[in-house]
Amino acid sequence: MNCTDVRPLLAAFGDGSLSESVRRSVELHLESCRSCQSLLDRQARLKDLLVSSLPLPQPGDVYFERQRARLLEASHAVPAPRGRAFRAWFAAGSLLAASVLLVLYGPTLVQKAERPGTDPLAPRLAAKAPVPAPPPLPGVDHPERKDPSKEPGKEVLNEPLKEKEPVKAPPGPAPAINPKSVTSADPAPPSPAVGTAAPRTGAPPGTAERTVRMTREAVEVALAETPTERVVALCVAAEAQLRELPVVMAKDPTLAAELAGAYRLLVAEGVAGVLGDKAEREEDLAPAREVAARRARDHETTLAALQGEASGALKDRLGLALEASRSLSGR
Amino acid sequence: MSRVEAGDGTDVELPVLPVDEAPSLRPEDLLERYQRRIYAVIYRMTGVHAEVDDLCQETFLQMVRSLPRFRPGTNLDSWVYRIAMNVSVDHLRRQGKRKKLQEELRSQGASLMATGEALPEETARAVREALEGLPPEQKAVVVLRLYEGLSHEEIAEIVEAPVATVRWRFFSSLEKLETVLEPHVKSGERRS
Repeated sequence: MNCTDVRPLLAAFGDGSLSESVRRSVELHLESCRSCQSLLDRQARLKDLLVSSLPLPQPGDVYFERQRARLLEASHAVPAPRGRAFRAWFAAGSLLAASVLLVLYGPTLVQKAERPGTDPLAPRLAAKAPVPAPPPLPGVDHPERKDPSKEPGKEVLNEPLKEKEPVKAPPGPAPAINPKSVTSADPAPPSPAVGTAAPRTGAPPGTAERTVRMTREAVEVALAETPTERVVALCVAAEAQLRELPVVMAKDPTLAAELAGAYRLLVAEGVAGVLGDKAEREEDLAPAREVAARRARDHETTLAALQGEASGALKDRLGLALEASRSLSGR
Repeated sequence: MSRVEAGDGTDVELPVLPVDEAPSLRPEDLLERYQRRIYAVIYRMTGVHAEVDDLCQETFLQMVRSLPRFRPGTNLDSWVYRIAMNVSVDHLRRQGKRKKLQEELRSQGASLMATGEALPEETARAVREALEGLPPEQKAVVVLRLYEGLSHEEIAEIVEAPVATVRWRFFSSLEKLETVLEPHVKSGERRS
């Protein structure tokens, strides 16, 4: 070892925190190098100076007792973990992305599809759909928009937590019940299967009724407390796309392809995102995984049947949707 | 890492905590165990008692918020230090006063060199300002090593960097501090 090698190690050498072999090499060098020995001595004096010159203030027990009371009070106002709120909003964002895609571009795509030789879906669906920030909703915190912890001195810590208002079920007829899907751990309506559920066309894209329905679905996702509830809310929204597909695809393959894309987004980005959340506890994720797999199996039946009838871009989109569904069911 | 200097200057023997217990800790338990240690480490980082209170609160609330996501197998002490350090480093970065302090230190160092002598209170002030003149990442290593007495391996876990990086930061910090504090080191030598 030469001086260049030894100098960066001197601080650790002085602390006795080098490995035995490296320590011996440094010792060997120090025996023959006055310059490094001098640096080691200076560093020792410097460390002494740093420690001895900077004693801690002694605020006393009263200070710590007051601080303790204040911190405990503040801790009671801490909202649900930020990660959970974020994940809820992420899921809601995925849902809204699908909704906005349909509401805004549905009619446009229909018009463009009428032009021969163009595939209006290709450029838009090739890129990952952006996840827009959800609109402010009553009774919901927005931690990603305003994180008080990033602004010391501006925290609003003593506000009581707001009670969440119960969310009403989305309007529209209840889907037919598939007995295989119903369990106590699966609180939402079960998934439809082709041929058993009455197709619901719902309001056409671009209408206020459609926007209201999709916003309600987004609220369901955002307010879900557990991974299972989030998965179910996302599955319900995905199943809404599946219900419309059989009716729409005969009349308008382009719009049907949009619905298939929205389904894929909800499942591949939303449900898979919830299930892959490492911050959640395994005991919370396990039932969510079961629910997702069960519902995905039903979706596969529907999607496979629809894919058999489709052609062109729609067939491709349904293939991607089927792939997303299979990734959940484990098939 | 189980014996530390508490905020009141006394040593506190900390019981070994099974890692799986961490998520079930209540805010009261966290305070019982870490309040004074958080105070000490944040004071060392910021050097200003008036700022410590807000940063202690920020650290503690981040701990409470993050506790449900605490992963079994993680060292709870390191986890707490990491949060406190991140809060402190963010604070120092926000302040952005490093450049200004370095300029002050240079001028102060020059004046001390001229007189050749430094009074103890001047030394304390110079040490505080020299530490404040370090980049936050280097300062974190110095505080954890010199004042908290942690090993380089423990520090590496806290700052989430390789041990070699921690050693380099420590060495580099000492070099900078020695340059700035040279007159004080020499004056202490003469007094002793």
